Amino acid sequence: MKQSIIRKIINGKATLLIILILIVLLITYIRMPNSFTKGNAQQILSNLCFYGMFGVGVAMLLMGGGFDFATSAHATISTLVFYKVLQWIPGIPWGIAAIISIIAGALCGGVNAFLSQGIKLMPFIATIGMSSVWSGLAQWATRGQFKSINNPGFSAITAKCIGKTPIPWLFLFVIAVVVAYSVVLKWTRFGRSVLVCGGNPAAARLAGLNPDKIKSILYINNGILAAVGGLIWSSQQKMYNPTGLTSLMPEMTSLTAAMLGGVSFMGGSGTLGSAFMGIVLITTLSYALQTMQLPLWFTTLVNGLLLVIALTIDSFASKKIRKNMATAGIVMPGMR
Amino acid sequence: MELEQKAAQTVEKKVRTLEFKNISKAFPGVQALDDVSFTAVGGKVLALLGENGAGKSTLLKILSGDIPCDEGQILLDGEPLALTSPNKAINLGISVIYQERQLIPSMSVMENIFLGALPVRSGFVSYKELKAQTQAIIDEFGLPIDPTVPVAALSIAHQQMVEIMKAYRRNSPVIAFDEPTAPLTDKEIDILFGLIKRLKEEGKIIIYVSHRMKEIFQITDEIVVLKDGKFVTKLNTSETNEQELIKAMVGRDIGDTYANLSRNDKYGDVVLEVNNLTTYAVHDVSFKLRKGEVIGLAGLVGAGRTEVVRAIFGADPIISGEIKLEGKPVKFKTPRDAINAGIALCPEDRKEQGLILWAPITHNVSLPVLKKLKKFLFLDAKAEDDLTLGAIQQYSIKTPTLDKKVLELSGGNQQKVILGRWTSKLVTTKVLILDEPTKGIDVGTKAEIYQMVCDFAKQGIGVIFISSELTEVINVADTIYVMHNGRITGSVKREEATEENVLALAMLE
Repeated sequence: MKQSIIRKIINGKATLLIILILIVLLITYIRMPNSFTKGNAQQILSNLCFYGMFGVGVAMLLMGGGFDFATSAHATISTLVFYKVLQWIPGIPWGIAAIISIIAGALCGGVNAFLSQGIKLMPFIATIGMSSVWSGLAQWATRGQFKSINNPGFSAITAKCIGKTPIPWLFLFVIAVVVAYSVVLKWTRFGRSVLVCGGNPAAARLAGLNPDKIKSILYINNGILAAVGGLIWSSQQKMYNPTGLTSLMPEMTSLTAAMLGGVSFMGGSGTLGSAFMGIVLITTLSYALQTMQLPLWFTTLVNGLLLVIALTIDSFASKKIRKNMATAGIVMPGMR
Repeated sequence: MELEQKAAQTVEKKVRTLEFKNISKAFPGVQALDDVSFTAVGGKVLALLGENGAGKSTLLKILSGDIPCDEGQILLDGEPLALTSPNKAINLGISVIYQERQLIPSMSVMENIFLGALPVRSGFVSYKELKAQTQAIIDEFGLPIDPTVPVAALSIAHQQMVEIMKAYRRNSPVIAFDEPTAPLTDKEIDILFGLIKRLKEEGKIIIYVSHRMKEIFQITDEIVVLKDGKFVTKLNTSETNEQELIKAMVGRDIGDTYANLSRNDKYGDVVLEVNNLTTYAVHDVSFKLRKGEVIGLAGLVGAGRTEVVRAIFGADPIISGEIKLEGKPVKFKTPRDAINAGIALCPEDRKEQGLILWAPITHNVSLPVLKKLKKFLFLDAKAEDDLTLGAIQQYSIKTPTLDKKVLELSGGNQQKVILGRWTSKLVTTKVLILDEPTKGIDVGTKAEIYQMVCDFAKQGIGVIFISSELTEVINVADTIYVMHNGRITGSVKREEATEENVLALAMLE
């Protein structure tokens, strides 16, 4: 009986998350009926756009058996590149600057791919180190100063809504990204390879796949999506902020969300849909806590609790697999 | 002088005994130990002898508190021991010295020897005393080891000596050695045996596990033979000989399973030729495999069989030597290259290296042929299902649905999933390598797998069959190559193969 409840929780991830989201909304409504405004809705959706981009990259990487602590640092570097390009080449269309910035994000991801798959450093430690390196550079570049980015076209991408609804156009783009990655994951050879290599890299290699290559692609992909996320943030804030992103730590939010959505920390399982529902839950929850004017430390505490809960659920889910492994040598993704 | 007195004292004391009483231990699919009982006595060296899988290491693991036994108990001097953890076992006076040394390489010899019992003076470790005490032990053993150097700086042999000194310092009445001589040179073995004799004279209970016959006759006083987890016999070393021991290790009934196999008797051209293959683990390995032939690689665990096939498959780097596939020299950098050329490997440990456990059967079957399952940008789910269905029907895999997770299947069915992966219509397998395909599988399915091996041969596939079960390998394979210490020590045709002559080659000195 007890086991079946646990199993239900594990299996019905998306459903459960939707129920939780509704509960959060309900409690907020009971406590603060006036908070259901168009402005608040738009704010939540904007936050979703930002976290959603990070969430996809992080979840993909997790499924492939990796994790990148430097994700927000990649985003910071990308926004720095964006700001610098706009500054150096006056009149350059922001779109081109954005593309250059995304390439920078890809390169940042590539560095971590090289460290973890190329020379086989322990990804957990290596990416923490690189996070610090990039953050240091990002602060040095503007001597720790915020720099405003005044580009009406660029600011509009996050501000414009569909007609009179509170839904930003950008939100549709983010949904499209989630859908596209879901399709790749479920129906393409690459997606299959991600799950297989994350699930058991040794077996995947002996069956002719190249786990190092797959994981490298995922690190680079994570860098690209982090860059896009960083751009969204810069567009919302209208500035380059050398420390803002790293203090927000969207990769940790994404990690929690992905794991709440059933992406295993051991790699090899999960869907992007439920990972995204995890993002929706966390974003809604922390915005609700803010509107209820609960102090910031409370939000921090709740986020931490969520991560531990998600990890606990994951550990329950993988217990069975662990039992099934003949030798007890299961390694964390960051260790292999 | 002092030692002699000590020895005299121990003789006066009651002889200590270590009794194994009705020990049983089951792992999923295998009864590793089945009601094993025997007694080891102080002042004698007792050898544990048996084939691979006879249960020797399981017994040592139980003794060292590493794993619990299902039934039975171990009694020291008539008192039952509660061996719930390795630490507990050490405190109860049991030291097991494994091949992999349990030392901390970066710490000094003295710290390792006194680990957990460092001499303390007013709250601080007294290194002076530590050094003096360690030096005393080293002198007693007459070894040229500096107590202050880190263990990592010592030779493998000396590291092992440190391990023994650690057991000696703990004053453990029971010391067990697991294949201690494997990494040692002859001279180092002499030193080791000197130490063992000295420990024996002090009345310690010594258990000695080794595959080397010569040593067993040289150092031990009694021999316990295990087979398939069961106690076979206990002999006095002085009253037995090599032939008798091998017979005791092997002797079992070979049922009709093998006689009823429908074999292939027509061989084609040579499909795989290996010349002087050398890697980090194997030396100068050469053999030829013809189409439709089944060759067996026999040998004890660690003989290098898996390493040979991994090198052929492109999974491990090759130092020198040549591999020819259908007469053409080939060099595989990755398993992918080998697969493309028509070589397939069912790896030794199917859960760790073969399967994606929490993925469905379909994903596991289609793994090497994803490229061929592409329809535009996407995977052709229907073709994948067909492929899987083919495997399920061909090997009668028992599963309610195609997308059941493989971790929910039995061991035999899991193995069939891997076989299905390599024999589907989308792969052309010329050489099929089966590494321990019957490990942990029930008797009925084993027989099915033997017939499958013969069927592959009939289709013209060259099969390399690796097994630690001697009976199996000498009855299924057409030619048996026996390995020892990374080299092929001989080959026997099935008609001439007996467990005795194969085991003799496998245990070659």
